Amino acid sequence: MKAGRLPIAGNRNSLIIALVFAVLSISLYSPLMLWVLLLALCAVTVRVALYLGWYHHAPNHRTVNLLAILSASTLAWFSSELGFLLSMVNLLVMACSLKLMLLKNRRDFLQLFICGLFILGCGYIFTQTLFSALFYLAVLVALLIAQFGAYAPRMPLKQQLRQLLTLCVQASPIALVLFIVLPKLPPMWQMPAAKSAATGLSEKVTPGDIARLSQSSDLVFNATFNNALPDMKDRYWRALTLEHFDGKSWQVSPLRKNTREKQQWMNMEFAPAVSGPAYQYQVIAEPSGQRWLYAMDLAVPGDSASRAAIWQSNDYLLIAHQPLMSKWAYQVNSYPHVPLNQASFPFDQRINLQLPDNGNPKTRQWVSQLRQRYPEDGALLNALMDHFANAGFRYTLEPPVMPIDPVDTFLFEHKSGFCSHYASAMAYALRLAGIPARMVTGYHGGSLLTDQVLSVHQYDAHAWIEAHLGDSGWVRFDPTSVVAPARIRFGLEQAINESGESYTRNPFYGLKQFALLAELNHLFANIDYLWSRWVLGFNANRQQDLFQWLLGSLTPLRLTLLFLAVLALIAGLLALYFLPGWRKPARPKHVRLYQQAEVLVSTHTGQARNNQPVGAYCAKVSPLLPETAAQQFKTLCNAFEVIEYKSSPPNTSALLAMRRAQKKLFRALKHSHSSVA
Amino acid sequence: MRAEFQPVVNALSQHIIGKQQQIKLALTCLLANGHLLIEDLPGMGKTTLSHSLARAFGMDFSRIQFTSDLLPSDMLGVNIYNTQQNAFQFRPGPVFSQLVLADEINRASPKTQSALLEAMEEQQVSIDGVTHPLPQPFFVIGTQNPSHQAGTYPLPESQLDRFLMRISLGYPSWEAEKAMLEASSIRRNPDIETCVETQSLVTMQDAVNKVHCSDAVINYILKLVALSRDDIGYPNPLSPRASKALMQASKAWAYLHDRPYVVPEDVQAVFVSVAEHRLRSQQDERNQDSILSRRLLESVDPLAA
Repeated sequence: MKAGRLPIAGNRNSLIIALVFAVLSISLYSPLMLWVLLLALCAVTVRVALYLGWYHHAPNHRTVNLLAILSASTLAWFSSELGFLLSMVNLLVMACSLKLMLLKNRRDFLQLFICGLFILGCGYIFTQTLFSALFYLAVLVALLIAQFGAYAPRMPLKQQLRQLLTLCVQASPIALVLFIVLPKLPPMWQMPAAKSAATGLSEKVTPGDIARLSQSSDLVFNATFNNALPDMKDRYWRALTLEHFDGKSWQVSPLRKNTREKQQWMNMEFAPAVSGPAYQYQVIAEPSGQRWLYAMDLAVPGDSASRAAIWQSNDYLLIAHQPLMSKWAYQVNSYPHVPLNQASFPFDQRINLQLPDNGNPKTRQWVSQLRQRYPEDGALLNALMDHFANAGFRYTLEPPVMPIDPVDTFLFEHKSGFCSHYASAMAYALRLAGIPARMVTGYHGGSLLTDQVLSVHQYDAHAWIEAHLGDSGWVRFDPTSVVAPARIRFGLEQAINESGESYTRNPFYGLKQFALLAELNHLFANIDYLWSRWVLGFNANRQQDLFQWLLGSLTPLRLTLLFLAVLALIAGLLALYFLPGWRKPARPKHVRLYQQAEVLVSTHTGQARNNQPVGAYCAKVSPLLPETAAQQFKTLCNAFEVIEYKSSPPNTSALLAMRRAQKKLFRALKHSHSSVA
Repeated sequence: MRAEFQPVVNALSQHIIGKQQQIKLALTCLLANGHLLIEDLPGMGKTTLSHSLARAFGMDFSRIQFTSDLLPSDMLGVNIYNTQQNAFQFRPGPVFSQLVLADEINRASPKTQSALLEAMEEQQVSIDGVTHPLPQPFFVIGTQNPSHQAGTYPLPESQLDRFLMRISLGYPSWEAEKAMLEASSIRRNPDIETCVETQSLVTMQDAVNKVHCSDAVINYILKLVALSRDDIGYPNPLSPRASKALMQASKAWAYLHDRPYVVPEDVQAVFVSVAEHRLRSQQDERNQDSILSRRLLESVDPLAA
C-alpha cells in the first residue's frame, strides 16, 4: 500500500466523514437545490457501499469529471435565480459530493474535512437557534473525530473521543475570548429574500386570516424593556397599515408602497418630532423574511446602529433595510403621548377614504342613517363603538365563513368574529361615513418572560383601526376591546376561556394543560431568549459597550493594551496546556537527566531508541559516538540503571555521577559538533 | 556471567556446539525452578542437551520415550502385589527422578500427557489414594516435534502454559557442525563431570528468588502483559501465570549474569522463550518465527512511566 493512501473498504474515517457530510447536507435542505441534495446523498451512498464492501470499485476520475461538468453547468444555469450566496453554498456542497466519490488518499480527506468546516459555517448562516448551534457543535465533533482518525488510525475510538473532547474543552476558553474581542464585521453577502411566505402577518388580510394565525405558538419577538413596562391594554405592537379595501380584503395600499419605495430611493426619511416620556426597549425579532418591524405607538430607533438599519415611513412604521432572514435585535424608543399627526401627505386622506364601488348594501344604508343622526365625527365613533358593545356581538376564534358581502353578513347576520372582522367592519363603516380610516395589523399584549422581558407569539396577532380625526391625527380604535374586554386586558387565552370555545382548536391546549410542560416551555423560551440576547445579539455596539465598561474611555492606547492583554491571556492558556510538567506529574530527576542525554545522543547519531532498554540502546549507539562521549554515555546509562532498577531509596551518589556524566557528554558532543563544522 | 556457571556452559558447549544462548536459557529455566519445553525437529540435539544438563548438575536422570500407547502407569509407577509380604508395594515409575526427559511428549495420548503435566505442577504423584512426593529438585524437560509431523497430539494451550520456557535449538551453523563432525571422528564424546552439586542448585534457586525486581521492571512486565490482552492482534493473551513466569525467568537470567537486580534487558532476553508459546494459537504452530513476542517487545517502552 502506498503511503498516504487510504484503504477503501472498512475505512472508518471515510465512513464517518461521509455520514457527517450527509447530515450536513440534509440540515441545509432549504438553501440547497433538490438535485444537489440528491447528488450529495448519492455520493454518501457510494461511500457507504464501498465501506461495507458491497462494491469494490470507486467511481473513476473520468466519470466524476463528466458529472462535475454537467452539474457545474446546471448550477451556472440556476445561479442567476439563486443569487450569489445560495449559488456558492450549492457549489460547495456539489464539489464536496464529487470529492467524496473520489476520496482515495489523505490529501482528499483533508480537503473534504476543510470543506466540511465551511459547510458547517454555512449552516450557521441559515439558522441560529440554540438547538441548531448545539446540533452543529455535535456535527463538528464528529467531523473532528474523522480527522483525528485519519492521523491516528490505530487508536481505539473511545480514546480518540476522549482526547478530542479534552482538546475541545481546552480550546473553549480561547474561543470565548476570541468571540468577545474579535471585531464584528458586517456580513459580506446579501441574504436572499424569502422563497416562500413565512408564517406571520401578511400584507393582505381577509378577516379570518388572523384567526388562523392564532393557532400558531411560534415566537415573533422578545422585547427587553429598560424601564417600566406598559400596561397590558396599551401594548399595541404596530407592524403594518392596510389602507386598500376591495370589499373583502384589506391590503397595503399600492400607492403607499410606491411612494415608500421612491422616498427610500431618494433617501428621504420621515423623522417625527418626539418629546415626553418614552418606553425604551430592545426588540429581538425572529426571522420573518419580511422587512417590517414591530414597535408601539410613535416609535423611533433608539441607537445609532438601529437608526442606520431602519427606515421610518410616513405611516409611522419602522422598516428594516434588509429583510429579517435571521434573528435581529434593534433598539426602539416609543412615545405613547405624542399624537400621530406629523406626517400629512395629500394622498393620506384620499387613499383612506377609498371604497369599493358596490357591495354590502345593508351596511351602506345603516351608516348613512347613523351619519344623519350623528353629524359630529366623535359622536359617530362613539355610536359605532356602543353598537359593537351592546348589539350582541360575540368574539370567537372560529368565525363562520362569509363569502358574499362579508361586512353585511358579519354586522347583521352572524354577529360573531375575530378581531379582524371587527376592525374591517369598523374601518369600512368609518370610510362610508367620510372619516379616513385604515386597518392596522400587528400584535397585542405578550407574556412576561422575566420581569423586564415580554415574549410576543403568533397567537398574539391582532388587528385594530386608526381613524384620522383632524388635528389629533391618527387615533387608535379597537372595537375588539369593547366586544371582548378580556382579550385586551388579559390576552387571548383568557378571552378564549371565557367564550367557552372547544379546546381542540385552542393553541394553549397542548402546551399549558400540564404544569410541567408549561414550566419546560417557559424554561426553553427563557434559554432561547438569553441565547438571542447575549450570543446572537452580541454585535459591534455591545462589544463597544463592553470595551467601554472595561476601559472607561476608548483611547487607542487602551485598546492596544486590551488586545495585548488578550493575546497574553491566550498565550498563557496555551502555555498552561503545552508546557511540560503542568499536566503530568514531574518525572523523577534521573529519568529526566537520561532523557535529555538521549535526545542529544539520538540527534547526534540519528538512531532513535525505539523502545529499546537503556543498556541495549547504549551498546547500539556507542560505536557511532566520539570515544569520550560514548564513555560518558555509558557511565550515565549505568548510573541510570542502578538508580532505576537496583535501589529503591534515592541513590544520591549515582545521581551525582549521572549529572556529571551528562555534563561531560554534552561538552564532548558540542566539541565534536564544532570540529565537524 | 556468574563464575560457577562458566564450567557448566563450557562443558555443555562441547556437546552442543554453537548454542550458547539456548544453553543459557536452559540454565535459566533450571534456576527459575521451571520446566523446559524444547521444540525441534528430530536429531537436533534435544536429548543431548537434557542428558548433559543432568550430568552437569549431578542429578539422577531418567528418560521417558512417549509413544501413543504409553499409559500413565508406565510413567508414574504401579502398586504391585508382593506375595511374600501379602501386601501391595509401590514401584515408582521413571518420573521419580530429579531430571526427567519426556521425549516427544506430543506423541503420547492426551491422558498420559496430562498425567505428566499434573505431576509437574503438583510436584507429587497420587496413586490409589497414596501421595508420593517427587524428588527435589524436580525438573522436566519435554521435547516435542513440530506439530505438523505425523502422529502427534499437539499440547493444548493450558498445558503449554505449564512449561516456564520453550526453546528450540535450530540447525547449527556451518562452522559448528563442522567442528561437531571433526570432534566425533577424533574421539568419543567425553563424559561430563558434575560441575555444580545438586544441593547447591537448590540454594541457588532460593537466591534467585531474592533478586531485586524494581517497580520500574514490574511495571514493564505488566505493560507487556496488558498490551497482549488489549490488542486484538494477540490470539492468546498472556495469563497471570505467564507474568509470574516472566518475572521469575528474568530474575534467574539476572542471577545467571551475576546481577542482584533485574533490568529490562533481562526481561527482553527471556521474553521470547517465556511468552511465544503462550501467545501463539494452535493454527500458527508450524510458524517457527517469534513474531508475536518480538512485536510486543517493540511496542512497549521500558522507560515510559
